[in-house]
Amino acid sequence: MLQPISDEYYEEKFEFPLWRLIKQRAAEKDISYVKAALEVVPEYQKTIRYKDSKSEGKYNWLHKGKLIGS
Amino acid sequence: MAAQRKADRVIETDVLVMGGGLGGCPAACKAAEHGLSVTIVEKADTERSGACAMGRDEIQPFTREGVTALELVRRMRTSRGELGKLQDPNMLYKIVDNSMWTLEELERLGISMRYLNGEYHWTNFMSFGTEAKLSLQVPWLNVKPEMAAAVRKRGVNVLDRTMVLDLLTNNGRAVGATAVNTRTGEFIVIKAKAVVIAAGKYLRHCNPNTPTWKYKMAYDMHPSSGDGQAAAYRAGSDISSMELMISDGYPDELCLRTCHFNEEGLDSKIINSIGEEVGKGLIYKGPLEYMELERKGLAPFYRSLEDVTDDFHKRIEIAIVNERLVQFKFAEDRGFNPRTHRYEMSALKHTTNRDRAVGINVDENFKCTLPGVYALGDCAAGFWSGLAAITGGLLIGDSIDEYVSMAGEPVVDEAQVENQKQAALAPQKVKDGVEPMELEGAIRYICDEYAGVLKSEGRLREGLKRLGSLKRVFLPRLMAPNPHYLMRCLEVRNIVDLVEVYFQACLARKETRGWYIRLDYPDKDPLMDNKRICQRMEKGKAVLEIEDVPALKPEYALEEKK
Repeated sequence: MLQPISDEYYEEKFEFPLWRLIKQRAAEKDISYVKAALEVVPEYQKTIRYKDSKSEGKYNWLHKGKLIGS
Repeated sequence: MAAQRKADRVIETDVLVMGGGLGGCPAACKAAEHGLSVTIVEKADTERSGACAMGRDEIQPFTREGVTALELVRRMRTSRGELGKLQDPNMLYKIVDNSMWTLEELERLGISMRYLNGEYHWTNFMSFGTEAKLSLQVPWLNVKPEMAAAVRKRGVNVLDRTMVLDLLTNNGRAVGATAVNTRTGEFIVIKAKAVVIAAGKYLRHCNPNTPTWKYKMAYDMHPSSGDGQAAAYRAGSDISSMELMISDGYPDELCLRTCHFNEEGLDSKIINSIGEEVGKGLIYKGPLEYMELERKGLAPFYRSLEDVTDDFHKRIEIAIVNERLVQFKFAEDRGFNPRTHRYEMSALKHTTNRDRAVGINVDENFKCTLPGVYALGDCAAGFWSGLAAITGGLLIGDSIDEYVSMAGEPVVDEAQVENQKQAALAPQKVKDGVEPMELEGAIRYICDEYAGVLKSEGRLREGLKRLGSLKRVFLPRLMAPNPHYLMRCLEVRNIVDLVEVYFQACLARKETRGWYIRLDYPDKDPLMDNKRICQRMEKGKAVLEIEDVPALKPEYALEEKK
């Protein structure tokens, strides 16, 4: 994890994978980003393990009895 | 006939809907289905306007997975500590009790809340502390175009790029409104038997977390100038709890919205200024506790997603698509990578949010205190959310015909039309005057400086004085070289009026309650328990009253026992 005050923090160039796919699809088909997103997102969703109960438990802090603002 | 002499155009309609967003469109559809003539006045474009066009990722809460309406009402009224109790429980009950019906009605109207795979995508309802999946993630890219189509299909008259100036009243009830086209400058009189205000949240009186590029703001600072609240207030309808425009613990929104990961149930780490992991979620209970941590040199705090799996990062990316694609560009332009960068959390920023009790006073049937006016969603007091807007709109549209059938023909007062016209169009005649954004910037400065998170009598009074001089000297000098600028001038007029209301309400609540802090009154005043501050204009004068928050009706409390 980069420190917010470090030079690298601001200099690192990052591209979101989904955004890259949307831009590519929009360019290929000469369509808007919105239309490209509607095509790309369902394909992207298939690559996600939504039923990953192990990770759900790990990453959902409600399982640990903590509440926002409590 | 008299109004026709004053106006470029006169429209006669049964129902005028102010705002064509998430709440306004369903209200218009349902009212039209009851055989009423309906006109929507939308400042932007009904195809892409309102909160969901600015980025809204989900609606909630729904009564499902065994969670009852009553349980949800209780959670909502306690989730923000003392301030949650100032919400009208009956209105909350009505919304959540009709939540699943709302989905059925939207499907029937041709508006789908289903995800791209054709199924409802339920996620955790994190902020109220329940593991049940009560929150619905929605592909918002499709929603507004479908709503606009549903409205057109039912013959609703839509005036896009048109701003409501003020409500018209006669004999103590609303009889329509005046409006101006923000492209052509056309002055319009709309005679209506009933008015539905669905104009969104008021938040543009202070500087947002995100630096502004003129009028472009991040989601949580809706660029809403409070047109609905200001119009209701000036017409004599109560607005309440304006002092509860409070601060909240949100991440730096230049990066990404907090709900992107909240809705997915992510376990983000919180790291303090010296790099120590200090907890999960919000780790302070309010501004005073945050200040204590700052005194120890531990602030600011950062939210970190460094331990999150790739799958969850993909889910966050999809949540960004749901809200608005431009967030990708904002983050990338800044070189922000959620996998390696931390989100700075702000705590003492003035008014990054507001309490749900703030807004136009409505009863459980969404009726305002001025007869003939209804309000819903983010501009109504009680419950702001996408669900409140949509359900409120559907319920109003379903019942408004009863009022309309009894209202009689609206009779417009010619002198009132003339006064509203003169006041609204005056900036068009000003040369070498003040740009609206200049005045808006000055107002925001006064709000941040004199009525920020930490308030006290002296500063509030000084701020009010400064605001008064700004209003007296610069408001008449606002200039509008074209109709679009006129809209900005009119927005500033609304902001000024509501800021005055805000200062007066802060002066009246002489106590510290929850996240509402008065440094000169550090304790809770028991006499203000369950009390809300209501304000309105009456014959040109500001009126402020303190009244009881309604109690939950016994019939709703009984639901639990069934």
